[in-house]
Amino acid sequence: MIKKLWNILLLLILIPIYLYSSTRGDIKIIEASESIRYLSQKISKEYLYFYKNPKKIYIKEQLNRDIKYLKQSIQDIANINSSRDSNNILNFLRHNIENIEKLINKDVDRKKALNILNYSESFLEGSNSIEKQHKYKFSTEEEILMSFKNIEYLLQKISKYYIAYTLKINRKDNLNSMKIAINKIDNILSRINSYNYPKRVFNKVREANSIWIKHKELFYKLPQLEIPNLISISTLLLEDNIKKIASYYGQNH
Amino acid sequence: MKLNNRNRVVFFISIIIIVISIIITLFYYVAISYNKCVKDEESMQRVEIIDRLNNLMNNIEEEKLYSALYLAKKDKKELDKIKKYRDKVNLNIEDIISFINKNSNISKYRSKIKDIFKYLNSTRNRVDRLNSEYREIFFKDYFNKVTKPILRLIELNSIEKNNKLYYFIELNRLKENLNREKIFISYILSKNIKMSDKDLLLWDKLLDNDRVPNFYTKLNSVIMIDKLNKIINIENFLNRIDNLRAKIFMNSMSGRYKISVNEWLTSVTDRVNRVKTAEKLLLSRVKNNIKNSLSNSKDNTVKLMFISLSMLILLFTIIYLFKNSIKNNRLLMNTLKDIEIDLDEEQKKEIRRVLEKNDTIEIYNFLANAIKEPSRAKDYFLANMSHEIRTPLNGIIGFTNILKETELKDDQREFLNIIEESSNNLINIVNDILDFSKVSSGKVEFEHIPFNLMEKFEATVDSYSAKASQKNINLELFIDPTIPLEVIGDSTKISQVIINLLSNAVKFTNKGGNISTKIEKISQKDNIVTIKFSVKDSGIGISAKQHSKIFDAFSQADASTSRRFGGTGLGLSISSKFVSLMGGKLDVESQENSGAKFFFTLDMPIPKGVKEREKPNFRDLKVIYIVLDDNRIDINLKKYLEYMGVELRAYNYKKILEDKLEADILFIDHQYIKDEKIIEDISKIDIKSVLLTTAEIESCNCNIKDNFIKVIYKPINYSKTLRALELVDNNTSLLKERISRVDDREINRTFKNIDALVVEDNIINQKLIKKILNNFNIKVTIASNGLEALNLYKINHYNIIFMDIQMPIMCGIEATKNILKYEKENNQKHTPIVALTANVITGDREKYLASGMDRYLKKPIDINELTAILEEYFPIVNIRNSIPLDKNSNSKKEKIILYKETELNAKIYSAILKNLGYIVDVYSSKDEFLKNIDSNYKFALFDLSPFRKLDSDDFIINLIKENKIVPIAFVDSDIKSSCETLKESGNINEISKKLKKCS
Repeated sequence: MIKKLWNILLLLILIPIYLYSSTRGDIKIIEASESIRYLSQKISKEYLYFYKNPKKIYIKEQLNRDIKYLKQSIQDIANINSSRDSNNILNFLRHNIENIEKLINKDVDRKKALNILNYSESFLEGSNSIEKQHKYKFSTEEEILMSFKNIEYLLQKISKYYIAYTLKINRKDNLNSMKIAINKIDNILSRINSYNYPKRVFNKVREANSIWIKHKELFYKLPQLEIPNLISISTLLLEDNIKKIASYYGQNH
Repeated sequence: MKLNNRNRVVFFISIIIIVISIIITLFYYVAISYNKCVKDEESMQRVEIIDRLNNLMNNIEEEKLYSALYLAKKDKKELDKIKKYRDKVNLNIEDIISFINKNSNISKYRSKIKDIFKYLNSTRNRVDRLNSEYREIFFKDYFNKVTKPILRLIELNSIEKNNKLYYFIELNRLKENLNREKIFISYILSKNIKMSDKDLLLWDKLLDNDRVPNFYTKLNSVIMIDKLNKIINIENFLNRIDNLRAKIFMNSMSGRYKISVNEWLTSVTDRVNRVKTAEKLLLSRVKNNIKNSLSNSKDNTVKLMFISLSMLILLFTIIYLFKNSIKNNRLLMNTLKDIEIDLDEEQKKEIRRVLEKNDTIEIYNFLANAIKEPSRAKDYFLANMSHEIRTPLNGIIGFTNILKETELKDDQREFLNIIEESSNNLINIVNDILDFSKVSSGKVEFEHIPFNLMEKFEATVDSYSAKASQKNINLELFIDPTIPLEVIGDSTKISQVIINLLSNAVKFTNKGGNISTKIEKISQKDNIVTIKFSVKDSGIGISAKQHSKIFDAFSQADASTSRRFGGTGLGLSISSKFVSLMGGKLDVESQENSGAKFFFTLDMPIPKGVKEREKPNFRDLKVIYIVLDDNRIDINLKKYLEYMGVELRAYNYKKILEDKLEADILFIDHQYIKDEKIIEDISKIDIKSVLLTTAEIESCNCNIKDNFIKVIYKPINYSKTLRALELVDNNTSLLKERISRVDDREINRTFKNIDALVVEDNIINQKLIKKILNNFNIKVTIASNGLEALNLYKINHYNIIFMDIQMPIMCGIEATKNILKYEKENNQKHTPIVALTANVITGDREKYLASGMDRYLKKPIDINELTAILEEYFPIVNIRNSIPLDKNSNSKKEKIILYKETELNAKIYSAILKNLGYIVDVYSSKDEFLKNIDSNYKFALFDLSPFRKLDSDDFIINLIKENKIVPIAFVDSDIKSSCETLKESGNINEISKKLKKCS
């Protein structure tokens, strides 16, 4: 009897632990997948920018740093995930990283820029596949925070398409993809705007909206006005604002 | 390493090529180094101009900024600032133009700078007019027409492959871009205007160029990279400004800027200043590097130039040496070709071989041999001449002497005298030439043996008395009696010099003249006596001009002298050389027609243990010298007498005859008092008188001399003076004194049972030698050459062989070798071989003795030398032709057996004893002396020391006494003996006294 009681007690302790650890693993994988998505776009954007300004050596240094983070994110998923499919995806992504590294260490050209764009899409597909395998029911606050993350990712994606457009790489597709991404940000921002924020956060949100609107205006000025350098640095400003909002939001919720 | 000329040429050319190669290489490096210097100087100029252009650009940027602010604000306050920077810019431009003017190689930039200045002024005008086309002003006017050309000039002046300057230009571009953005955005911010699409596009384009260079790609210095990276930190450098840019960009669409101009300027100026700092660092490094490089280049150039110049000097030296070598060689070759004509066939072949070989060393060897050859030939000729001339002369002189001893008519005797005189002259000439040859070739050997200077030179000068008297020349001799008894030197050579001087004096002095020979002691110190020899005559003298020539060979005072007086002219040259070789210098004091005085001084060592000359003491004697009215007195006689303690009183002959003065001895000089009556009157005075005369005078007045106790033939000397005084002192009878005048030259020796083989090819010499040896009672066999002699020697027995050297068929040396070989093979007793030759050149004697000959006898034969050799090998059997002065004394009691250890002493004492009237048997062998002691002798005079050495002195004395003979031993002064003794140096008086005492 006591033995049964001990077994029940043990089950009662182990099940919640299992369930908790499983949830924590999923969250980490989702976070890592988000990071892969974000970094893949950032890397491709930076490479295109480097292609545009090959003498700006600091871009290459930034690229190397971002690839390192990307590898770390893939390794984080690999550390948690044991499914065969996920592992295959991760191996594929690793293979892509190796290829990107090779391309970066060679002289930049248009062909390599196209390849990098393709790799960035592969990373998106891979991260989406892994994320799908790990379903997690986000709370409202978590969803808002995830939205901020999405905006960051989408900003990188828009910048990537903008620069690709100015570099005359698949102009039509990239313009369409950019518009889709702009719409996504609009949707996310409208969702974000619908939440109630403390005054300090609210101001930041309003400022972010203002910047975003100006951005959108500039994006839509294509092809009349091609200012990739200014877009690039203003995107950084917007991204910085979003990060600050996310940070304030996280602290207040 | 020995190189022939061909190899030497190759060697020289190789060296020259090597040196030229080195010089070319050096010059190449000098050119490179110099070029580097020039380039470094150009680089320095370029850097200087870059620095100046950079300053200009910095000031233009400031001017632009304030111009932009002025255009934006339209505030006239800004004009002051604009003016300030415009002035700065103007000064910069002036400075640059001035610098360009100083450096001609960058003068091409002058017009460009002027153009820039022109456009700058034009732009300034637009600014001043507040033109609203800011894009035009800043991006077209300022940038395109001012800043861009300056940048271009900076780039043009950059140095190839200079990485620091590369980064400087990169930074320069960055700085210019930053400034443009700074000015542009400042204008927008100041004006608070919306940015148009054009503005945004311009701005975006500026951002394209906003790139920091990667210092890692081209810089090697980690320290430099670190410094630059610290100045321009990319994180801070970009991020801070990007945030500001993004904000301005976001506000640009509304034209409401939240960023102030100052905020913008502060941030951007900080960036610009960082770039300027980096530029300054790079430029200073570039300057330092160029300075160091320039300094090194200059140093290297100077060093290389110095080495190159040294090498050039070396090259010229080598070329000079080479040229000289070639020239000398050519000269040498030409000389050889020139002398080839005079050479014999063998030498011609040799010279062709040498010329073909072209070897300088061989050429010199050939020339050396060619030079030596005549000298050798001369020596050979002289040796032959010596032999060939002496041999017939030997015959002439010898047979003339023999012929003179036969009964001859007067005219025949006169002819013979001429032959003898001519022969003697000829042999003297030959001797002179030989002597001169010996002196010239350095083959003269000087003896260093003790000799009695007084004896030697009294005899030397005496030998010339006859010749002097023939010319009625008053020959005087003074030999300082204070000179040590013996001195060391070559008496023969000194004698030869004095004879030569006397011969000349006699030759050049007229009849009735005067010749005075003096040998005086100058000083004596540390066993060295300095003696001055002089011969003074009253002859023709020598002019001052001729002084320098008279000691040269074959040179007399002048040609006429030679014709007048004859002679070879070698005598004085030989004498001078002899004196010089003996350490003196023959000199002359003379004036023309006032006679001449030849003199020389010699330092002569005194032999150890030599006894001092015994100073005679005749103080008690009263000596009178008779003079004529002129009171002339023989100074030398006076000096000798004073030395002997005698006071010479001179009296007029009238006083002597009238007053009948008391005196022990009278000296009458026949040369001054020639009146026979006066002489006869004086000779009748009862005072012992000594007549001083010459052979010439004496021969005409033979009756006068009988009245004098002694006749002294001039020149008067110490020994003659001494003997004269001794005669008076010993009260010797006139008869005995006459004995003293007997010459012992006629004493001859005979030998018993001696067979001699004379090997001589010359028939005259054969007869002469045979005659001489026969006189010694020696049986002679003649052989005409060496081979004949060898054959005769093999079948006959000879006691001695006289061997000539130069003979046909077999020479004397070869014959001697064969005889020695024969003796050795047949164990035969050695027969003495005497070399008999006219070869008298130095080294001949040694050569003959080395070939196995025992003795050496030169031709013409000196009888005394021959006698000495014969006596060395064979005992004297008899002495013949002794003049029996006192027949009554030729009894047993008058016979003396004499033993003297040395041959010379034996001769001297034998002569003395014979002069004292004794019959003397002389022995120089101890054994012969002992063997011949018998009772027939009254006295036995002998050297005691040989017996004393054997401790048999008592034995010999007893042996003599046993034979009833009176023993008188010659001993050293401090040795006592059991019999009567005589001192070794005992004189005739002592011996006479001793014999009288013992009898």
